[in-house]
Amino acid sequence: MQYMKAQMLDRELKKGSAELLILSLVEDQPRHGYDIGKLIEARSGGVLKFRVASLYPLLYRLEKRGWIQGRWIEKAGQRRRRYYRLTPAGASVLASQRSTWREFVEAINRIAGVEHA
Amino acid sequence: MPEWPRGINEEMRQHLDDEYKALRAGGTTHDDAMRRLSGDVDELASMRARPGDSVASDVRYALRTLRKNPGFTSVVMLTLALGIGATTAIFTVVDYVMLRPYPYPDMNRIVMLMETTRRGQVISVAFPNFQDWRAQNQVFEHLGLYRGTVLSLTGSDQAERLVGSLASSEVFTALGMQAILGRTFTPQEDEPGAPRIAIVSERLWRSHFAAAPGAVGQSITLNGEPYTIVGVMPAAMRFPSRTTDVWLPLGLFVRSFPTDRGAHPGLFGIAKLKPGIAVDRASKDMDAIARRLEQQYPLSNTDHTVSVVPYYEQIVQNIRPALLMLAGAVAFVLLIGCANLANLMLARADGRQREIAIREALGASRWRVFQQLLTESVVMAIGGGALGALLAWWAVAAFVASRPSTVPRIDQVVVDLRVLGFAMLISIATGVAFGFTPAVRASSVDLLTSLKDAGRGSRGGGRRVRSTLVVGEVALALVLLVGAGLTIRSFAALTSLDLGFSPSRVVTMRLTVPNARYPEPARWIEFHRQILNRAAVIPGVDAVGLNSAVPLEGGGSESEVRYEGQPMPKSVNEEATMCLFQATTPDYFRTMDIAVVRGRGFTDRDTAGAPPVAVVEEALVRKFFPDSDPIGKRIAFEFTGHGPTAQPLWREVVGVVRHVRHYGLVREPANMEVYAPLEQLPIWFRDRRPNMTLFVRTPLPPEQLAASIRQAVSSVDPQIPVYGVLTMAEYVAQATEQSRLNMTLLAGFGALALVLASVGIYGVLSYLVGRRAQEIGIRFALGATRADVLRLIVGHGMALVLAGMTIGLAVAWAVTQSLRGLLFGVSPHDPATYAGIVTLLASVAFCASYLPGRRATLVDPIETLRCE
Repeated sequence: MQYMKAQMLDRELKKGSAELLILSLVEDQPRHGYDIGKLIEARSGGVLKFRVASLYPLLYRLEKRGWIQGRWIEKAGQRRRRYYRLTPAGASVLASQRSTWREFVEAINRIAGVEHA
Repeated sequence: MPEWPRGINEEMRQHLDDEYKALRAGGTTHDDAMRRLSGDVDELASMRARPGDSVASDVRYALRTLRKNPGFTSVVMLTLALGIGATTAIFTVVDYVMLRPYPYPDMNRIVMLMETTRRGQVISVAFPNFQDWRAQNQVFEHLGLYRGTVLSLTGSDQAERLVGSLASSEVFTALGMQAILGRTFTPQEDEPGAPRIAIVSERLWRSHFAAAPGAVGQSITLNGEPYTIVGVMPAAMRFPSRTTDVWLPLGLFVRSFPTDRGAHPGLFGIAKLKPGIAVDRASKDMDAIARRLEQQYPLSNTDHTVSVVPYYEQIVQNIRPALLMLAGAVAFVLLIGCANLANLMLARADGRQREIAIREALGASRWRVFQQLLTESVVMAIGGGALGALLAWWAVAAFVASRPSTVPRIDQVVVDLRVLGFAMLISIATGVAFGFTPAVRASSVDLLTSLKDAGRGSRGGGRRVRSTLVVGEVALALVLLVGAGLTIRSFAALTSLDLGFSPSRVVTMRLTVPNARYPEPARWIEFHRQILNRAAVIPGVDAVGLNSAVPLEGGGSESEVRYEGQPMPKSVNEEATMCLFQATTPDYFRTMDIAVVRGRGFTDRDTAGAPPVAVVEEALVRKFFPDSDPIGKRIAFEFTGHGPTAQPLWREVVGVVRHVRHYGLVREPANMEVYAPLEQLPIWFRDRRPNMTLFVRTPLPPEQLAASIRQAVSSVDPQIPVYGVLTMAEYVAQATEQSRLNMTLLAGFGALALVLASVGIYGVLSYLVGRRAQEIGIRFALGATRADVLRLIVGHGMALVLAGMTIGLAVAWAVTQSLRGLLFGVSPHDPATYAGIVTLLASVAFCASYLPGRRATLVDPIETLRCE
């Protein structure tokens, strides 16, 4: 059942919420791809999981749209990593997506009577 | 692929590396870690395309994908192999028979000339008429004349029989064929009284002269007379027949041809049109000549004209309808196969939406994804095509081995590069045909909507496409099956015909007894009598007879026939009654089991000195003596002199026999069959003796019998060859060969179509059941019974089948019209066939719908609803 739930949620997530998740995660601080993937998995309790082939192309698309910006950062003793941070354009998209999402969830709740966790 | 963001590979590589380290750190083994990562690795591998090698990488990717789905891949390849194999095999035959250039230069200017009645009956050319054609025509560059003949070659231990031709010098110039050694005939050599010379085939030159250049100038003995070889024709020279081994100048024999314009001694013309002259123009020119001759010689030439037929037409006209039909049939099979595959691909494409969405998310354009999907179809099609080519190679070899005599150039047919090229082409076309729609549909899916709609039952458009494909498949299958049904009925009608004789256990063989060796008719007859006597005492021989014609072989010598007291014709236009006359020995009727229905057959007392007698067939009695006893009446088919002064030689009718099919099974001319005793040789045979055929009723195997007969003949005269050993059953098989071939192939293709169409129905309904599992679950939850659900699914399937059959019936009704010429004894709209095929197809389709329907009844409503 856990697997099925994950699949369904995965589908829901991709409906548009994938962008929302990524934008949210880089809002406070720049993060690299692996970090983003792990955070999504961890914070969702394993329900949400991105595959490499989906995650990086999505990051690239968000960057191409100008919502995030990636930069290679060299650190002593480590290999270089590409960190993504939110751009001002990304910030406004994030704000609007958040409110859309909230409205959506509230609407669902009103109908289905699901309680807030 | 569009340009990649620089470094994305590095990022992704690092990600996998991080993941691996994390897993290892968490205590996972190396193997397990690799397994956990393999999904990501595979997806990445598929994205590794670089600009410039997209085709190669597409192919690689396609191969990888196909290897991962062996079940799917093998179903597809098998379907393709069957469809492409059948198409390639038929193409091979069509190609050799109709498309490849014939070896004669300017083939399109070579025409055949025949004398015909204005009602279209073909008769051979009267020699004096030919001389007038040659003198008067304006349209031919070369005009030659020929006839077939059988020669006996002696000189070695045993006499050998050769297929020969008497050919005028212009036969070679009309065909444009040169000798590979020596030369062809000059006009001077093509004259009465010229030295005896011969041209031999490359085959004979190799088998009898070891391909020695010195063969030219050597002498060979043909029909007991020496001929000097002047040339060797190349193997490509297959005129008049592919078995012709010797050509003799026609001029040497013209004196033996009747000077009477009413006599048609088996001669035919072949000509090359002058450049720029069309066949129509030549026909008009020749018709004008025929009309002049008609006025000059009304007694013999009234109602006669000349038919000018392109040589190519002459070769292919009999086989073309059958080949076109078969080509159409395989095209149908291939189309049905394509429809099936398109359905499979559509279903599969739905299952691959995630993969496709990822690729598009990566920035691959729709065109690029479309290309990738189409590559997969084409790769499969080429694989299937390779298998199909193997299949075709095998099928063609089997077909050639069956030696269908009705197919021109069949002995040359092989699967070669040209054919393989065709198979390749058709494979690619097929791949595009069945891959196109699924690829368009799948590639036009975009990430968000597709993932949003990845739920079930939403792709209504896909369902419509799939249903349409099934309807089309059923329609095509119905048309094909109706065609197959009709040819089966036709074959049944053909084989149940009354032949007039009983073919079982009758072995035949030919004797060629040259005039030169037995110039006296009495000695010639005596020779045959001796053969008969010796054959009769061979142990195991039940009965033996000789006849001058062979049933089913296509007739023999014909003449007008009259009864005593018949009013003289009032005008030359009055139609004469023609007969097929035969010289027969007493036991022939018994040997062949030809029923004597009245009077008697011949006896040993019907000798040359006895009163002349004849046995006639029932149809002649009905025509000449409808109200009286024919026994004792007199008829004549021999005449001395011609025109109004012709004197009949009367024969007394002593017996009446059943009609025997002489001209084949299908179209018979209205010639009456008349038999005369061999001992009372018909006068037409005095100068031009027929090749007699020996008929033996025996349980012995043909080869064993032939050996005994050869011994018997050799003990009488070692110079006489015995050849053409065939059972009557083989003659019957030959006569039904084309029909049998049509039936076998069409029935095979029909069965294939039936299987493919039912697989198609099954596939679409199974898919539907999977897609509608939730809906079905809900129905159950709402109180539907299993019967309701079964009815829902089977009803859906049968609705498609019904639509397909309706369209198919309409198409079949129209298309089978063109089969009319290939059918015998059954109408193209035979209701029984249509009803039978509809029942068959409906039953099979029902089964194909029932299985998925049953599966639908097993849906667990709780499970499906929980999924939601």
